[in-house]
Amino acid sequence: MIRLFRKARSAAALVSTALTLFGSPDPANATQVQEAYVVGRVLDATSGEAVAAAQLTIEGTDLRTLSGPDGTFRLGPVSAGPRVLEVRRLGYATLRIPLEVPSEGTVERDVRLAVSALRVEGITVTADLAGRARGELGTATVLGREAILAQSAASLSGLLELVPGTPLSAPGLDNIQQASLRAVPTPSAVGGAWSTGVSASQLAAFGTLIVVDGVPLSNNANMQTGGLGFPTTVGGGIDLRRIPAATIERVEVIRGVPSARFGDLTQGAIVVETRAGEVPLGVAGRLDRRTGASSLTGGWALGDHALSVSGDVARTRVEPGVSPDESTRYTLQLAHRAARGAAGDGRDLLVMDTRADVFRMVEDQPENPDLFPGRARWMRDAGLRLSHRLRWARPTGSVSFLVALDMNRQEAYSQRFLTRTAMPVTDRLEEGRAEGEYLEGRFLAQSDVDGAPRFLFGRLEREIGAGWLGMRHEIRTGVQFRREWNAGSGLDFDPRFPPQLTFTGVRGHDRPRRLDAVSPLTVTSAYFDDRLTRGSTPFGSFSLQAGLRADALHEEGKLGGGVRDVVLQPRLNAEVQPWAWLRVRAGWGIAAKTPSMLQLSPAPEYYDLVNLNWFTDQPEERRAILTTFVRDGTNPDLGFSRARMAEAGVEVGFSRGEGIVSITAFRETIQDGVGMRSLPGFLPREHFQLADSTIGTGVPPEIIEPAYRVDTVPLLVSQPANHLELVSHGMEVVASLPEIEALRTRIQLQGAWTWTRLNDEDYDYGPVGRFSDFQHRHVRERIPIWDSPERQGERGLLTYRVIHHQPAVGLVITASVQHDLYERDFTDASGDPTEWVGYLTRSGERVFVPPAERDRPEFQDLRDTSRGVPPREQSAPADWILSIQATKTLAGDGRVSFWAFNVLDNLGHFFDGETRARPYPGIRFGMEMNLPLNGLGIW
Amino acid sequence: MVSARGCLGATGLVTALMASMMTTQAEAQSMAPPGVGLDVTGSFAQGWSPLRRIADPERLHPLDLAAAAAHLLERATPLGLASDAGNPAGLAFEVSEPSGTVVGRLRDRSGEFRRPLDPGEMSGRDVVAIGSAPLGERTAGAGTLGAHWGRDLTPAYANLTYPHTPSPHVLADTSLSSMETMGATVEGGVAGRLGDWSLGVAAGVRARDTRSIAAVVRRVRRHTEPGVAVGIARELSGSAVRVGLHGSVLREATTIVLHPLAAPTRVLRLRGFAEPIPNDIIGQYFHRLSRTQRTVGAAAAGGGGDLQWVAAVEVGSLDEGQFHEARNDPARQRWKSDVVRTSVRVGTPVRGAGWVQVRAARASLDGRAHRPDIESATFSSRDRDWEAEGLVRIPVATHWWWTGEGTVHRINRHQRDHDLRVSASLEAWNTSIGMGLTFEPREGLWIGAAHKWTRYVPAGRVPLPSSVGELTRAFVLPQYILHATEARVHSTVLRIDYATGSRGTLSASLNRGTSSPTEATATAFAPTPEGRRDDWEVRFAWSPAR
Repeated sequence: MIRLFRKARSAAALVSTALTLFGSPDPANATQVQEAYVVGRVLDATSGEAVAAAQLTIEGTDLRTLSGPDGTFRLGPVSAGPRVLEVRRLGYATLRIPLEVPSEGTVERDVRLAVSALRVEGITVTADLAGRARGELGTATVLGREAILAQSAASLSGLLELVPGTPLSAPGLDNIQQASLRAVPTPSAVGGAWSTGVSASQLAAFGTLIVVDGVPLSNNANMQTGGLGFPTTVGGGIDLRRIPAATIERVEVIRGVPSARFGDLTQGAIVVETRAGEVPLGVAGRLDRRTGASSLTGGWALGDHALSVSGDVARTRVEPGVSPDESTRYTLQLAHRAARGAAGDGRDLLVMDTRADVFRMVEDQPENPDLFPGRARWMRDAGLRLSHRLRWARPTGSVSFLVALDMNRQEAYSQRFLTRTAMPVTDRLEEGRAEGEYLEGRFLAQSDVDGAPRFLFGRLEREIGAGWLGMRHEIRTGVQFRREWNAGSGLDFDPRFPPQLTFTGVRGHDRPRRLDAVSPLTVTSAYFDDRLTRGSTPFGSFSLQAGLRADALHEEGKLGGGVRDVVLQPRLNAEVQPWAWLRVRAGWGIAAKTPSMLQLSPAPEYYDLVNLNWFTDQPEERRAILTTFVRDGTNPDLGFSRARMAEAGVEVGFSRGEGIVSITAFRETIQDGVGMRSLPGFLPREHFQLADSTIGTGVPPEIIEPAYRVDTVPLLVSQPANHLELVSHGMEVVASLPEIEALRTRIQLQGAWTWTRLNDEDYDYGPVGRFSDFQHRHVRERIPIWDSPERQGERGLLTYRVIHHQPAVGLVITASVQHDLYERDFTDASGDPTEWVGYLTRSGERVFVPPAERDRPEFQDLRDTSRGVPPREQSAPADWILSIQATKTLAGDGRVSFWAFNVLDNLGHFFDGETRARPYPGIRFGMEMNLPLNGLGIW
Repeated sequence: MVSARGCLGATGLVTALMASMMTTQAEAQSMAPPGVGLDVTGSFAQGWSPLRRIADPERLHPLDLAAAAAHLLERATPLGLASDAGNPAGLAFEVSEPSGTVVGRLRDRSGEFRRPLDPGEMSGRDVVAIGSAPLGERTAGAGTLGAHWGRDLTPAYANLTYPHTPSPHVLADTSLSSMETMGATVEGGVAGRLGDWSLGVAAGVRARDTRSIAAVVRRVRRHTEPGVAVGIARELSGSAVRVGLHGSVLREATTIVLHPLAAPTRVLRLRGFAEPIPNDIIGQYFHRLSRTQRTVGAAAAGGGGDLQWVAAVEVGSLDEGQFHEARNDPARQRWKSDVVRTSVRVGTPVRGAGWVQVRAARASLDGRAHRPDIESATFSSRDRDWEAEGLVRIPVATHWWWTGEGTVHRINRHQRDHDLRVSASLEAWNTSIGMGLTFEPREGLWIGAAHKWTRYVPAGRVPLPSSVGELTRAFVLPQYILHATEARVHSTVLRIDYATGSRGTLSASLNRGTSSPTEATATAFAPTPEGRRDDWEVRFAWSPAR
């Protein structure tokens, strides 16, 4: 565990240290580095004529050039290793061409452009299986525009099916969609019934960073909980439904160790780039039985300016014909780029990008009077994100400044009929005793939560490209600032008609709570990252990416108020390429994730104990006295979750680089993961006698003070704590075989075997019913407690893709088989009656008993096999589903696609008492169409 | 098992035809018959389709002939191994230039002259794109992409699977839910030549998602039919004859889920003539049906002089299972059948742009139903269908073409319930005559009209059991009554085609069909259905310029 500078008084020192790194290197000290160039011609695939003014870039670098009048180009110097040449020309489809760049010399590659990429020989329409994210050396999956177009997806989540280990799913907006890399679900929720802990998947999703157009998205200020329950992503990652697939240009999924530039993560990063700049105007639509969607994208160059707009409307009916539930999404993105001056090396001196993103996501579950009268709920999220990035070209790189403000509005409402017996209630918001009110019968409980998360993000970064000591360096160093707060009015309901009726002692009652009073969350960071490349060493070409990041979490969200927690995060990735066909790489690093605002400031829990319950037939004679207690679960020691990431892999290329096999082993450990633990305690309850219990007086009776008896009510208060450990390890394999030219068919494979273990340091207090009985009945003086069980999940998943391509007619047919090799979950909860570790007393004290003493007669009452979390071990047999997609070009770059998910309608495996259930969703199918607006036609 | 005699007979027919045709030495020529209008078949069916159901076709209403006259104004489908026999290897020989058509179709059907499990009203919208093109010097391909929207309104009773098959196992419920369907079909075939040989493969899927519309009993029906066919063909050197072998597998899976949320419903699992046991459903009800059709076939096609011909035989089996639990591979109620289908088509150009063709086909089916607890069959069906057709299209004057057609269709169905020891037999003749006239007032514009008369005549009696249960009388017997009812059908089509030059050819047609009973054959158990059935269909098509 790396925890230096913990409780440092300020992060200012870190920031200033990083700023000293901003000085430019002295070019005079730079030594000569061996270099290579990419040369060739750009030609029209149909006519064979030269294409002038095509823009060629090496992805992830500032290298760019334009093809000459005869189509020729020369691009470089390019550092050795696997690179991607990107070729753009208005009126043609953008191509991404993987290259193997030697340490010196030239790579000759002619490029044939076509209006539609599907008419180009050898085009890849799936993920770049052995690709690298821009500026990153860690294991990544890169999805280019062609892969995105070929993937039937309604949102970013659907695109992630191209990541090893991710199951296939039908496109739609019908459920909350989150990404959790390199983790599989484990049984049940952490803490079982005893807390509102998170599952392994939630924890992994919470730690997966999502970056859109350079700006991270955050779910830290999401506090949408409470009330009657509604769809919420609290405790997990952001809902990916808000990011439409149709407007995405590129996705980089960094599964390995990200560079130090990326923070606030424990589980990898997903970097999304939306369509912007000069892009052809076009519309797209998709239709299936549940989902209809349409989008529009276009961008225009106006001198030194470029303006682009994209919008999307999508609607999913969750179960048409059965349920009226539906989800709707609206998005709008505006992007403006302005360039000023010339840097002298072909780059613009000053580039300013301004973006405005708007989204609205509505999930509506209206009342179904036939089935569930009165029950309804909806969730409406909306957001506006403004960002501005200024990039200043310097002789050895650039300086960039990014500032973004994300303003969201989250509204949730739920209602349902509840029925209660004549019970006294109070609406006190502070501790103390009060008269209760008797309410009975059926009532419509309503609650709404109004949240307004805000996220201010700023980053100042210096990029330097230079040669020192015979190596090429790509240095990034910068400082970041993020501040998050919630300006919402919060949870609101009438306490006399609350959404919660029963009190189990596990959690107290909710009361209305304002969110704008919760302390904000402020984190400052500094990072340094250097990517070194040496083309010629005794071991071949060599790349190393080393970085260090420091994150500081500030007390109460105040920048000058001291530091609550600091974590240093070294990151290291290395790659050696002894031969052109072999790459060996490894990575190690530490990452950290900020706790969410709800974890830093949990909602207080209210307990209303009944001191007197005098209920008669005459309402005017009734009297109830209740004492309200408020328990605050705030944990002052709560800090960052920390993750140790390690991976090692090997990539073998063959058939002149057209085929590749990559195997990666990984191990990731989240330590100090934030969950909810149960703190035992007790409440004193006073019992009063009546001065006169005569019935028929017409007035309520008086009580005799003081109380004639006081007893205790044991309880468990939920408290966020860094007490979780999530360990995932496994193996990922990706393989792409060269195209079988006679059949024009290519086979790709991706798979992952992942094993996840979730531990928490809390205790199991037995079944909820028994604990409730322990609270309310005084015959039991103690109950047994157990260590929380360890939970494990294991899954082996292979996905094969067979891709048939007919460039003559612009046709691509893809068949995808998801093969679930193995799936197992395990809860290590013994049923042995002597496995208990101690007991809980009525005063909330945990007493631990040594194992040798547990069979003594005085502990006979504690020998109980019924734990709160039952033991379980189940596995599901191997099974598979087949999905297909056929895409055909239309006029221009238009295309029409048909897709069918689970085309054989394999129902999967159902629970039979012994094996684990794994039902598959039924067949779903639909069509998509992309049309350029400059012409329509079919053939 | 397939009837050995039927198989030998069909093989002999093909062998005889091949022997007679191979003696003619001639250069290979295009198999596309001449004609006017677009290359659109009346049912959008593609001969090479891997989704063809040769075994146990869903028995359509015998009078389902609304668009029967439409093909009188269309170019006859090409002759060949792919287009007639279902061998995808034939695509390499038969596709020589790119072609494509996009068709939109609006349909509407209503009327009381129907069976109890037929929808009361039905409307549908289809968009289908059909295309074929050479994919290189030795490779060719064809494909179809279709989308379908439809509504079945106010049915008397709900049919949940296939209502009118030879199988006795039919699922129905009494919820009266109107249904809405969205469906899609995609299929494609590709074939490559290697010298005189060609190898082809075709694959496709048809999917349907049917859901109730604002009903108290909510119903979801998912249906998928993936299929694959492979074939090999050889062009016999020195002749214009091609021979081929092919095989196909077509799977179907239908999943039905009932959600009687606001009201209970009654599910009936029909089982032949046995009185079904009503099953009152309060919670969710699940039903799964799966079918697998396997076929192998042989065919020969040739073109000697002006004469073009194709002969084909296919033998196949179908295995069907039904289950009412959420499981794959249902096994509770099984239905197995064997099918043999043979067909011959011969055509020749006449008088320049004219065309004459003769077609004959025979299909036989032998099916048996089994319960899981006993091995012997509980129910059996034996179907024999013969069909013969002659078609003539000739220019009768400058810019005028006349088309005439005569069809005779003999239907023979026999079903026996071995448990009840009762059987039903039905024999019927469907005879039709059609005529069409096409006029080309100026170059690129065709106007056509056609009419077809059909007379359906049941022969003999229908000796059904005299004592049947109430539910059998309501759900099962009326289809026999309708099949035993003499009826007449009129089908009329008006069509305009317009060639726009570089933008291709546009076509619009209006089809109308009516069917009504004339005289009932005596039956012992129910009156003759009355009323009429009306069908309307409007089609629009566009074929880009080549």
